[in-house]
Amino acid sequence: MNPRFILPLLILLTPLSLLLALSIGSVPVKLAALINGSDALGRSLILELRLPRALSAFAVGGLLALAGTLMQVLLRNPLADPYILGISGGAAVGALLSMLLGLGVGWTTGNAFAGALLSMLLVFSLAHSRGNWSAMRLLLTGVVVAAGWGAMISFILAISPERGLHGMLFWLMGDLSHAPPPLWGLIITGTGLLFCLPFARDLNVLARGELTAAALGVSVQRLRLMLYVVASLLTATAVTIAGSIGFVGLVIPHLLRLLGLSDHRRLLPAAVLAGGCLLVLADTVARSALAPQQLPVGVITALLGVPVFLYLLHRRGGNL
Amino acid sequence: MNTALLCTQKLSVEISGKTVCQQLDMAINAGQRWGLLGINGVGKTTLLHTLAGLRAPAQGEIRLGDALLGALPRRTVAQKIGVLLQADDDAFPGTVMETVLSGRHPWLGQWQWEGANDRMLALAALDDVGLDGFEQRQVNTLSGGERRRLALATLFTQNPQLFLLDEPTNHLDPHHQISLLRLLDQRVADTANQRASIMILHDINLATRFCDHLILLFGEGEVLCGPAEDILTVETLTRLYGHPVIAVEGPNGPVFLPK
Repeated sequence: MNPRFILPLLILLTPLSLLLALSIGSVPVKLAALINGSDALGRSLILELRLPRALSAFAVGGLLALAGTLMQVLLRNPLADPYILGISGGAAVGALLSMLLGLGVGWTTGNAFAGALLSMLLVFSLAHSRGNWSAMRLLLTGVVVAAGWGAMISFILAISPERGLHGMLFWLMGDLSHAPPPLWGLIITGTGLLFCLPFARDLNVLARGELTAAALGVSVQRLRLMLYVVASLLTATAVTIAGSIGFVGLVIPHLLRLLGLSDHRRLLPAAVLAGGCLLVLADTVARSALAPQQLPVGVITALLGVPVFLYLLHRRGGNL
Repeated sequence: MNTALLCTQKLSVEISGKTVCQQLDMAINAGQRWGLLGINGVGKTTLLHTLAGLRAPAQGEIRLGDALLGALPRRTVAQKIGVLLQADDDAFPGTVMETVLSGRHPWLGQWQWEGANDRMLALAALDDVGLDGFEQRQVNTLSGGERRRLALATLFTQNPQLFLLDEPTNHLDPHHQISLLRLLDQRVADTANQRASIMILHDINLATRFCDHLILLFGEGEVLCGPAEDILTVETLTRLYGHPVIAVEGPNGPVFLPK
């Protein structure tokens, strides 16, 4: 496929995925009854439950895919995802501690964000302590800090009373049923994208190597610092809204690159849209497949993403 | 008299405690083609990167025209100095056309896309290096020599005044070695544009053929630089490489061979 067509295709796909999310659910809603106003329940179901949730899913998917794209360029590693530097681990420890102590949803959200920021500052100051922070040093520091958070998560899970475990596991796998109103998530997604777009060509050059980028006129250290801060904040926002939903941030950028989209001026907006669509669809499946039981959306993103990704990888052959 | 394109004053360059050069004064003027020779690990690449502003000197200063190199914005430097690095990394490969167009990066504004003129320059550069028709190929499917030619085409698309090249003939067959060095020659000889080049070479005879000035790095900070004909002697080269070198009369002057 010509990579030029991917972005317009995604622009078409976005409203379709949202419409699908609105129309599917455990209670069927007829379009005609909605329009003539005779179905007040259906109307409030759609406007007050399904729409905010679908928009939250879109925002979170967009945030994760954008953060993943930025993180991969920053670490110069196509296997990087938004969580690789420990942001989600920090957030999870914040959230799980709040749940363990029986604090309310507001505290859980606030502490998740605080944990993410703490992890971001910790990794940065450790990786940066001796002046230079190469991609490798940053990656190793982040991975080790993430492992530390992982140990603390296991510890919290081990000492938690049984009745709290279900909520904690859902948080860890990512779940949109407790998402706050979607407005802020959408605003941050849009702002993040608009902020990154003027640097998209710099990212193209940085993807070819730090020295190459510097030789072509990019202030590499400034750009990398900006990437780190922006990608971390986007990830922190996503994790705060919906817990650590896996896979979107790793696979969406990769998938688009496999489809031939290597210019970040197209890749960044395409990642936001594709990540958003994937999560909207995955969340629709998560809340309707085994209704009334809800599944954690992270399970669905992986179940949907793995085969698609493997198929594309296979089709591309030895050409990667 | 014009100011030099690039000049150094009391320049000292060090890498991991080792001195590459000390108190080096030199001036690169328009039209000059410099060769940078020395044994493996003596610091040729380090010196080249320092002259390109990619790393800071230990002491002394480098001036690009009238301005201090370190004080200029990277973008301004990249409009004047182009660097051919030893190897590109391709964690995220793109197409040949995308790569060659990246040479226009320093010339485009933050929101600007490449225009018809940029595309024309890129296609002409691909044509020059014999990669016409490769535009849509993925870079990671190219051979080593083709990648080298692509890197040169990118450098030509960048169109700087000063070309700094780290082993430009690496991976190239004899035909492409000569034809690409000739292309570079034409660009430097074109006096309207005030260009110059510095290249790291391992082939002494390419250096005698394509360079009029030389910088020899002996290690321990000892440097000899100046016009090639004053410097190139069997004794100097023998000392430079720590290996006996002999001169044989060739069709266009002496040819130097390791014994």
